Amino acid sequence: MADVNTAPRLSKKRKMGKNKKKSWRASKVEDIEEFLDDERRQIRTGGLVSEKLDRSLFVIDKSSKQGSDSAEPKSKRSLRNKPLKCLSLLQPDPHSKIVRKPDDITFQKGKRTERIISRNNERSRSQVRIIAEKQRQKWKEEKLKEKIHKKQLPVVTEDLWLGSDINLWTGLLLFSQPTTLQQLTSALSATHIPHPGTSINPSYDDHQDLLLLGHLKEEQRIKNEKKILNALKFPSKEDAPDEFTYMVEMSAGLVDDTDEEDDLEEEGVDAIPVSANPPVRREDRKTKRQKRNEKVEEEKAKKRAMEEKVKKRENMVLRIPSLKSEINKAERQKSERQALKQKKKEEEKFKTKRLGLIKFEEPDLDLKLSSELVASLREVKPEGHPLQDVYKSMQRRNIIEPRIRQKRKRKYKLKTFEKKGHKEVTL
Amino acid sequence: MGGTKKKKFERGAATAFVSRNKALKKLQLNLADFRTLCIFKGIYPVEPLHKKKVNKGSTAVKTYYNLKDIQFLSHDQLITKFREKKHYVRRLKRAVAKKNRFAESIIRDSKPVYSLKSVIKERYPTFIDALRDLDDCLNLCFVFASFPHSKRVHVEMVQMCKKRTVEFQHYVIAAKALRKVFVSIKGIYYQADIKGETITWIVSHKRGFTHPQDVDYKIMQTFAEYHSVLLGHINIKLFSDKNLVYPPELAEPQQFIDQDQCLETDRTDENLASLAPAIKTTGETQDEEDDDAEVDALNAISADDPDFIEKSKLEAESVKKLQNLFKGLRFFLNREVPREELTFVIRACSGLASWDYTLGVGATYQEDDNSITHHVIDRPAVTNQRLDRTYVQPQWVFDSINARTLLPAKDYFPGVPCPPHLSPFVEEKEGEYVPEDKVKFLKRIQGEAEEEEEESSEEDEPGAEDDESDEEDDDEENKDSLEKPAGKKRKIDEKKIKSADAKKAKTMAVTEGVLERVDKHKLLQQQQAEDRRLGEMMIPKKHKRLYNKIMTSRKKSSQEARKLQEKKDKLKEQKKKGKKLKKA
Repeated sequence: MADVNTAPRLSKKRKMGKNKKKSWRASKVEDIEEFLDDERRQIRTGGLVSEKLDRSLFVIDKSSKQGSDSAEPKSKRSLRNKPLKCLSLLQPDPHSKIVRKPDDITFQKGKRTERIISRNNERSRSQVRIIAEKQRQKWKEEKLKEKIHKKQLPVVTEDLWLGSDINLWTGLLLFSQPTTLQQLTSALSATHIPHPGTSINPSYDDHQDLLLLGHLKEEQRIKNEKKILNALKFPSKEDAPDEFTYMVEMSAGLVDDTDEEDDLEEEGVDAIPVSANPPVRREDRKTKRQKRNEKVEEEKAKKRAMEEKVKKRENMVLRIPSLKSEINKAERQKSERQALKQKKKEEEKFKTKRLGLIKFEEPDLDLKLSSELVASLREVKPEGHPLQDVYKSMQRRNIIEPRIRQKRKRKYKLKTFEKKGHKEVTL
Repeated sequence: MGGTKKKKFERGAATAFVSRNKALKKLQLNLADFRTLCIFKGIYPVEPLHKKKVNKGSTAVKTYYNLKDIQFLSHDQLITKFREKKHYVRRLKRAVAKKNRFAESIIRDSKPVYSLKSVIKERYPTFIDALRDLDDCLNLCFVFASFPHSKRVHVEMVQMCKKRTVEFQHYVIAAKALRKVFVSIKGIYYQADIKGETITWIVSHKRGFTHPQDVDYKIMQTFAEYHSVLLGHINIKLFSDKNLVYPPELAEPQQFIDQDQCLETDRTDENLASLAPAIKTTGETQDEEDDDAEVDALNAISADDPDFIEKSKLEAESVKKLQNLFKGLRFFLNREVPREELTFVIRACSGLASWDYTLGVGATYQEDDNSITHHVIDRPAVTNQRLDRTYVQPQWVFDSINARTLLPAKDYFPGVPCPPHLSPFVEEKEGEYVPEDKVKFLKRIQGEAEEEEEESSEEDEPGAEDDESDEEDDDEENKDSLEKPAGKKRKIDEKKIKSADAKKAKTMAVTEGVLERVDKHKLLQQQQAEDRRLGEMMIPKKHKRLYNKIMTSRKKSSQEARKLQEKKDKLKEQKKKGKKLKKA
């Protein structure tokens, strides 16, 4: 707002009308003098440049024609060989940040920190820095120790059962546990007591006993196998499918042959009356006399039944011994059943439970045939595998569920094709 | 009346169990971690009685757990550790994939670790509880200790198992806890008595190891990790109770130092692993007093049962005999016998064992040592036999331990077919059939009186062995004459003295009184029989029938046994007759 009231201050480059006094006043005299001097000098040296023709001022350069033709437009072929525009994306971007390079294989831990330390050392070392350095060193050593400690497997150093975990007053544990935790999963012992026939130098009887066991087991196995095979066996010649049965099977449901059967059924229904109380005809009605007689008969029968009942009850006294025996028999049966149940329950403790999809199978009996027995301990070839024994023993005692190793399945099929060069080779 | 209608599967069996998948979801763990947690905490799958009820009407087979067990697991500290581990693995994978080795090294440093101490303490509130689980523990640790270096298991695990088992064996040696040994085709079964608990374990024969196909190694490794820690804790307790220094140290510096055999740093460990040297004690020894105290305690418990006292006394005596079976004997093990096993067994019965020092670390004396009493050898021919020691096959050591006496070495000379190695785990009851070989074995244990009878019987039928192997027999006889000339002479002398006594008795004279020997076994048997008869009288009529039934069945079985024996005797006689006829 202040500019409006005060006199205008003109800047150097401000344009204004030259026909006004104001502008004349503003122009500098030196500029004009300079211009006039220049004009005069041009007149002196050969006329004003502004009045001269272009031809007299410029010369066409003809020498360059014979030299390089870079100025000429490029041919189509050369354009075709030019790199594509899209490929420029692949060129490194000069403005992007530097991506961290992966460490090379020979990278050694601590190398980078070493460099930083050396740089620090180069700097002037103040007392504070030295102390800080010491602290850092100490921390590092501690860390190293800790690391080494962590890498080791759990090391046992103290007596675990020194103090008691049982409350003196209540006799209970200080921590709570589910009661199932203390129950044994099986009554079997962890180490299977070996059959005496498995000795390296068995007595004849023991060895024969073991062989018999092995034989029985093998027989059972073969029997089971046969059972499955029999079920899968091809039927006899008469039952074997032939062309006719094939046709019947394939045309099942195509031909509608239900009508005839339905008709038959309907006829059958008509032939046999279904109702329990057939309609009574007028001629068949009972007379009053008949009805009366029937009633009397009925009452008599009732009376007789009552009498019989009373008689039977009175006779019960005589049946006391037989009744007693009946009761005894029932009780005996009951107790027997109970004993059997108890026995089964006891046996159950030694049995392997079904814990998963796969059933536990006893491993084969480890034995040596009579011909395989050797004279000395040195020559014994061990049977079975110790790790497998432990594994099976755990499965037998319901500690782990039986599993089958899963095969790795590929999600997609691998494509196979022959190489061109190999295709031509025929042997 | 009235109330809301009871819905199905909302109470009872349907809610008491959870399937494994449900448990995984509840605990937010993956299957592998869940398995590990269950193994550590001792939670096992269960089979519900009514599966259809549990599975809400479906009969599909599933793995179930008790709901209470899963709830118990959900409070455990280990779960958080497993979660930490999961995150650790995730971070590490990322760093590895980016090839950021620096970050990888930093992440590796912060690997989460867990301690199983509290878990073990929780599972076994008392030490006896832990001992009951020792069977499994030992079996697995011994198997893992025998593993070769492979990518299937961590080397550290194998080394740890080896260390722990060696410690345990040293304890058994120091406590003389070994009771039975059985060499089977699978491996060697040991039975030890540790604080009243009978512990049986198996150690496989040292042969080439092949990894079995159908064993889940991940699970077995988890078990091995847990059991190795448990065994460590048990070892510490056992060592401290027996006044031994833990970790074990050598009592005396080793004698033979060979620079080539092992590294300087491994020398002590290797020496300990050889089981030959004794280990350091803390200085306080009250072993014998301890034993007496135990016997006293036993007596105190059942002071009113004289039979029991007598029995336990006899048992204690025989155990003491076993513990000092090889006392003063020095064994030298030839290079082909199983060194570690024999050393363990011999040392556990107070013997000493050594071997050629080129064979392995731990040898204390050499073959030319004059103090060696027994040379264990497992090959048919021996060159350069020495007269001042007995050459036996390894089976002699095992059989002697089972018999709890030093058996006559004659049957076990090198090259001689040994008598059968019987299982010590089989014990016949009264009246049952006792196999012939066992009878022979028992006779051999009884002592030399029976031996003489056997000898006479052998003299009766020398043809039997002659037919089988003339040459062997000749060898045997030669050895007999070489090895035991003194013994035979002594017997002859005894016979002469006896006959002289008989002659003297005919003429009237005052002779020196002979101490009447009381056979404790016989007395005990008599007393037992009397007690039984008295007890029979006191049986009420109610139970008499059952008792009679049992007795008749027992009689029948003993009768059968007798019949078998008679048959056998008859056959034998016939054979003898036939042979004599042949000879004639």
